[in-house]
Amino acid sequence: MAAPLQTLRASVRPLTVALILIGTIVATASASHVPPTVKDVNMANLPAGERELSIVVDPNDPNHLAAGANQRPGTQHWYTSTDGGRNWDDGVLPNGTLTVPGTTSVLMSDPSLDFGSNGEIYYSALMHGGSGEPCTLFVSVSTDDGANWTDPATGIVAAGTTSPTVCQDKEHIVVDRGNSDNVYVAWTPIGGANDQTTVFSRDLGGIGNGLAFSAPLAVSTAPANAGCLNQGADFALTGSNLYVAFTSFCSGFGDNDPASVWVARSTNQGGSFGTPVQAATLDNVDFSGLGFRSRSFPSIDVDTVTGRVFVAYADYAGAGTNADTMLVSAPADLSAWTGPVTVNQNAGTSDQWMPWVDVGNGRVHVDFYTRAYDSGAINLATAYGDVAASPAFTEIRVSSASTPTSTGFLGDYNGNFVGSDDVLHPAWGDGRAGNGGSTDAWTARVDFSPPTTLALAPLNSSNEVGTIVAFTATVTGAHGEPEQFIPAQFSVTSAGTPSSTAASGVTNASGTFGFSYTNTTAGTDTLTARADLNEDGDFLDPGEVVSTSVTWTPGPPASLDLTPATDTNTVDDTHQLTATVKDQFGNLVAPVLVRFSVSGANGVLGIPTSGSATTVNGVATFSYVGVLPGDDTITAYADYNSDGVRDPNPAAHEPQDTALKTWNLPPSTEGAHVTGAGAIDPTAGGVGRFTFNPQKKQSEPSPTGKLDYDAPDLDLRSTSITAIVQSGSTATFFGIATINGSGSFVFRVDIVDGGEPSSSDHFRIRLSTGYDSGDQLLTRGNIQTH
Amino acid sequence: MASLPLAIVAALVITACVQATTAPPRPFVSALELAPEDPSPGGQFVWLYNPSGKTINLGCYRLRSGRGTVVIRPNTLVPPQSTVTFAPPQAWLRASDQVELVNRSGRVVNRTPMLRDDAGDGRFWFKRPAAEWRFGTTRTYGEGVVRGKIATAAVESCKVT
Repeated sequence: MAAPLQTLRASVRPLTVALILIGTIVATASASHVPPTVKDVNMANLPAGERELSIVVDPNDPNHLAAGANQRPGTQHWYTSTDGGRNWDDGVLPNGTLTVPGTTSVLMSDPSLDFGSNGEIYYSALMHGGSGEPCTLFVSVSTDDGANWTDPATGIVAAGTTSPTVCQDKEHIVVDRGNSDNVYVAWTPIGGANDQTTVFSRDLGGIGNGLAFSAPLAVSTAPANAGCLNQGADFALTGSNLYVAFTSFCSGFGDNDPASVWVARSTNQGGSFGTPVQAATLDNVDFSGLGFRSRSFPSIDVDTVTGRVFVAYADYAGAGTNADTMLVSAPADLSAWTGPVTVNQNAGTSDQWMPWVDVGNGRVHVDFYTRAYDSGAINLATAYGDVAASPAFTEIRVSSASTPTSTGFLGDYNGNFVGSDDVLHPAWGDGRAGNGGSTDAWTARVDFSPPTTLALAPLNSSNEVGTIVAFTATVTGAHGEPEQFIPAQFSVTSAGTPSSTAASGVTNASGTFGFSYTNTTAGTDTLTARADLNEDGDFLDPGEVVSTSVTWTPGPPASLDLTPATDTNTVDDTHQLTATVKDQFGNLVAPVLVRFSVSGANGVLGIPTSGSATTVNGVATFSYVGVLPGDDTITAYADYNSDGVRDPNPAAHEPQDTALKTWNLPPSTEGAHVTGAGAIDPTAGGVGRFTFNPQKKQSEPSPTGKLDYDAPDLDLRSTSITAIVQSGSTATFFGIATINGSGSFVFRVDIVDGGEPSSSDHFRIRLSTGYDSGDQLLTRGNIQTH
Repeated sequence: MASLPLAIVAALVITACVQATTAPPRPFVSALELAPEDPSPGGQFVWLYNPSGKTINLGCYRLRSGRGTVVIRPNTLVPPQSTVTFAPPQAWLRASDQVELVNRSGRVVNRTPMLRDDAGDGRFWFKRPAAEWRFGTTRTYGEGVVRGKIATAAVESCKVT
């Protein structure tokens, strides 16, 4: 019985999808109806032969599955999966201490499984020997997913005996999770008091209080019994309705022998059963002529929503050839059965048989063997249709390769179970080439809400270098539900230095696969997310790839490099400095204000002593003209917060650097000779009076002459003239002087002989003290250039 | 046309006469499933093959094994080069057994060697004409398949001896 669908359906899907779309790139095949995807899986590829599969899905976890199979040589083989049937663990079901009297070999057959309320696996089977020997029916339980099993000897449902010889045969099991995990088993003893009668036994309370099965209760009572072989019991359970279906073979069980399908109902947890109701008649389908036995056993399930009961079986539809799988249904009280509808949809005359029905998520699913494909070889197909009294079926091939008809026995049952994630899990014995044994246990994921959408977030993000950024690829199914275990990849294309360039894995329970990385190099990466939506091993199908750009911006200033670090120029040249600002990873920073200042020979004059510039591509420049000879120190810092004050704390991101500048005197002009005496009246500093007579004689290695300059509180007397440059009526001379009778100060005088009268003459004096008269016209006196 | 030497003609005539008087090939047991995978009734089976060019009636023939004898339902007609299959409802063969096909006169017309199968799987013993017994899986061969029936004890017309 299928678990109810857990996810919300169409009514809320548009909103869900819309929310997901915000801030994501979405690659999608379609968000509406899509055909189921099919992927078949060899569950173990064992060297022995496995067949006659039973499979169940944990109602609490659609990714948790269990299955069992006959194994030859051997007994029983179990399989468990925790990833939705994609991968399987497996092992041999232990014999424990169980032995069967009167047997000449130890075999097991007829696996049937169900889950308990807490993920326990209940596994029923029979231990037997050769034909005609006793068979003991038992239940073994694993509470740790197959790692350990209870001793079958502690779970005997019905023991085989030798006097008379009784073989407890063809059982199925169901766990009543709604009633304390009661365990129900129905089967057919061959021999003894209940010879060929479908009987029922139950354990109340499940493994929690130990297994103790009741005495057999006859189910195939009149009118079904009447000495016929009543075999192939199967269960359906919903709420308080427990159904047992079986086929009554009253005219033999060879090919085409007539038989009938019956269903009995219990409404008291198997305490008693009502009179069996005939659901259908059939002609037995037995392919012994093909080298393997088959039989028209029924498979029953119930729709938990409507309570409608469905029974599938194989039949020759009148002609005695062309076996088909048929389906009938009835309301919960079994009061009125529909006529049979053909489940398989092949138009030809090929055979279909061994159906197994599972109802869930609003659909009836029937899987069956078919010879409709591949020139009559055997394949497993599934037909599905919406729940209705007589469903209209759509058939799909499930097995991707064929089983030769010469393979031999394929078991008496197939498995089939749909989980709450809307994935159907058929299970069957398969004899295709490449198997480890003659047959292997195969299953498939028939996904009715397959992964259709890959979304990537965040998109087009812009991040500071060095920041670890998390990206998420989200895979959702056709109905908006998260898709787990979908192979996913991330890859980064970058010209920089990404911390990681690739990652691969599978999506988690939220349907997501994450990837985080950083880049210490500013620039733009391309991040690509891939998801193998159809799980075909590649990422080449539509909708499986999404890309986005990831921009890495420089970090805050961490270093400032001022160049040239040292330089030498002649006064009055223009000196340019370049401040290069980088972040901690060496990336040129985004625009940031850089403030420059000058100290030293020219730092006192403010011509200019400071400046600022905003970086472009991390670079800011500053230029100034040195007017006095000597050494300058230029300092630059990144004013990250633009407050005009440097914070030396590294966390403030205001790095600085200094450069040294030496300003040399210009070479003196040979023959230069200037004289002057007069006064100027600067607004600031008061009237200044001067006399000077520097000159450069070719006969002298250095200039000679004097400068006296008097102003309020300033009595300057030169001690040497260090350079004189004259160009026509303009001249500049430099020297060293005392002020007020002491010290050694650099001075510079710029003059212009404006001709006569002398009111056009200019005089300007600047001192290393910072004194600057400014360019002044003479108020009296005269300047002469010679 | 040149005439054939008398001796050759005589030889051909004699050969033709011998062939014409040779008994048709007898039906034989062509497959035995001694140990099916599970113990369900009908799991064991026997195939008989009619290699002759005529339809034969195997009705009331008997199949004798180490566990007992079953009678083929009257009027079981097997077309030329066809197989008839039987699946006795009860365990009728031992894991190591030999089967004899006995005609209505009580004469054994075919006998298998002693065969053993305790694998309990889908493999069984089978034999093709003029070939040895093999253990494996196969389908029936020949022109057709007839589903045979084992007679019940109430079949009076066979007068089983």
